[in-house]
Amino acid sequence: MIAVPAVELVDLKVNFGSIRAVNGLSFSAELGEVVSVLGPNGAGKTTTIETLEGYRRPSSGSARVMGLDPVSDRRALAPMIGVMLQSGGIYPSMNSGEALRLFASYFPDPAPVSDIAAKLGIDNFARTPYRRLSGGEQRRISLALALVGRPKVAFLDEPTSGMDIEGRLAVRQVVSELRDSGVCVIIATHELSEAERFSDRVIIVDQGNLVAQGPPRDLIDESGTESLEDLFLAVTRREASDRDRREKPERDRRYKPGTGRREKPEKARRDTKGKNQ
Amino acid sequence: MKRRSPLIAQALAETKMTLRRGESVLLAVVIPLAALIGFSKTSIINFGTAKPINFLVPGILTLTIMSTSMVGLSISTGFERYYGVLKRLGTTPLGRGRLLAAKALSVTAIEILQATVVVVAGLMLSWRVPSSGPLVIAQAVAVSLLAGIAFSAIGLLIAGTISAFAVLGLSNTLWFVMLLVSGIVAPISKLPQALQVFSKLLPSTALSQALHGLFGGLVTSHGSVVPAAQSVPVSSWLVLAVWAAVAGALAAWKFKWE
Repeated sequence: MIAVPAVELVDLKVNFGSIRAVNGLSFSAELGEVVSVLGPNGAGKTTTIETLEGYRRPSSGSARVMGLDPVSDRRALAPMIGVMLQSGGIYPSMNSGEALRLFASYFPDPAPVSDIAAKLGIDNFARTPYRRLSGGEQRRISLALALVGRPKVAFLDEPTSGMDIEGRLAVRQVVSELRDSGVCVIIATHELSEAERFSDRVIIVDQGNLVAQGPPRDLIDESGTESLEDLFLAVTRREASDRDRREKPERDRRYKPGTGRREKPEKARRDTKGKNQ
Repeated sequence: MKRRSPLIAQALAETKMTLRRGESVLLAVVIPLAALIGFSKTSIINFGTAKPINFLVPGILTLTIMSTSMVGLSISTGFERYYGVLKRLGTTPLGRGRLLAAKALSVTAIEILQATVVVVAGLMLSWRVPSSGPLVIAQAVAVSLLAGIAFSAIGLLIAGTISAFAVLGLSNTLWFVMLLVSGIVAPISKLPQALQVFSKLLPSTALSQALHGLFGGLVTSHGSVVPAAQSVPVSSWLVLAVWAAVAGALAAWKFKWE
């Protein structure tokens, strides 16, 4: 039997109308690997992950999870994946104990609810309705629901967002345990220091393009920067500056605000100025 | 401990959450009971029957089915979409088919509870079923189920196509309009002629006419009382079937899960 990657994207492009959110992204991840997808706001992280979760169809290219198509093989894939959305996704009037037991009932071989609740420290507010919890507490429940079905692949969108230090430590511990038990974990995050700590590999995307990928330490060393944050700023700024250069002729033809007339290109303005002098 | 099936677990959770929401209980139990007791003890409306309660019980049964299947379902589903719950459930093994089946089970369970409360209250207010019998009861259950499907289809169509807050406004408006013009708390014979024609095309009127026919007190457009019928009018079956088919097809086509 040929082993397939847990997650595989090949030249993935996703368009929303005329806007291209993901522009030819390719990467794969194996079981037992933790991969963080990083990028500025609007870079295409969530769109990429949601395509792998089966929420979006690729405009072109392909997405596979455990060798299956996330959209057409949704039924076969659902018991194998765990999903933590960027926000919400839980009945507001339900408490965490009820939500965990309900989600556990969906899966053929769920993890014991009490174990997960204890691991993520949600015992203390297990009877409080979801809507009354703090942002960090809501994130813990969302993570617990993603893991209750014992997934082979876990997609975690901003798992530590809004969490206190205790919550972050719990998430780090959980991610480490998932890796050790052979789960592929794909994380979308803005928390660069967290990503540097728990990722085997990072994928940096900007404007839907892949701008860097590899183990965080290797990328930092190769680039001569001091941290993942420095590297991130370097590659996304470089990308922004490259893009600026590519788009400059177009920008130079932009309309003057409030006038309805096109501005003259900068060079032309300088030339005109010179002639007038 | 024996594990519950995903369908049963989901249906129980849906029912529990509905009964937990104050506004749902108000809509499902408090308003129908208040209407039943209030209108039967006062003479605000001339029902055209010797006993107002004979007109009111079938009407209030219609109201409960409409409230739970259309208004309650659309608002809860609309807000589940708004809160990302439907999106989240989409990646679990529960699947959309079982989610909808669970909602149908939950709505049916709540309607059985509502019907029990209304019938018991009606009997306490001296309502007597004029033409009971297994065939009449079976027809009442069948037409109520078809109406439940039609109202649920309308509810899901609303919930799946517009924003949650617009769902709230539209569902409540439809509920109020149907309450007034469908022969639920006042005979349709009291309406202007043009409104009567419009009213007869509504699923709420089809159900209220059917239940009034089976349980007595059917009032014609001339204001006379027709003796209790032994069967549901064909027009009621037809109107409800068309609403169920058209709204159901539109909901399946246009429903947005996120």
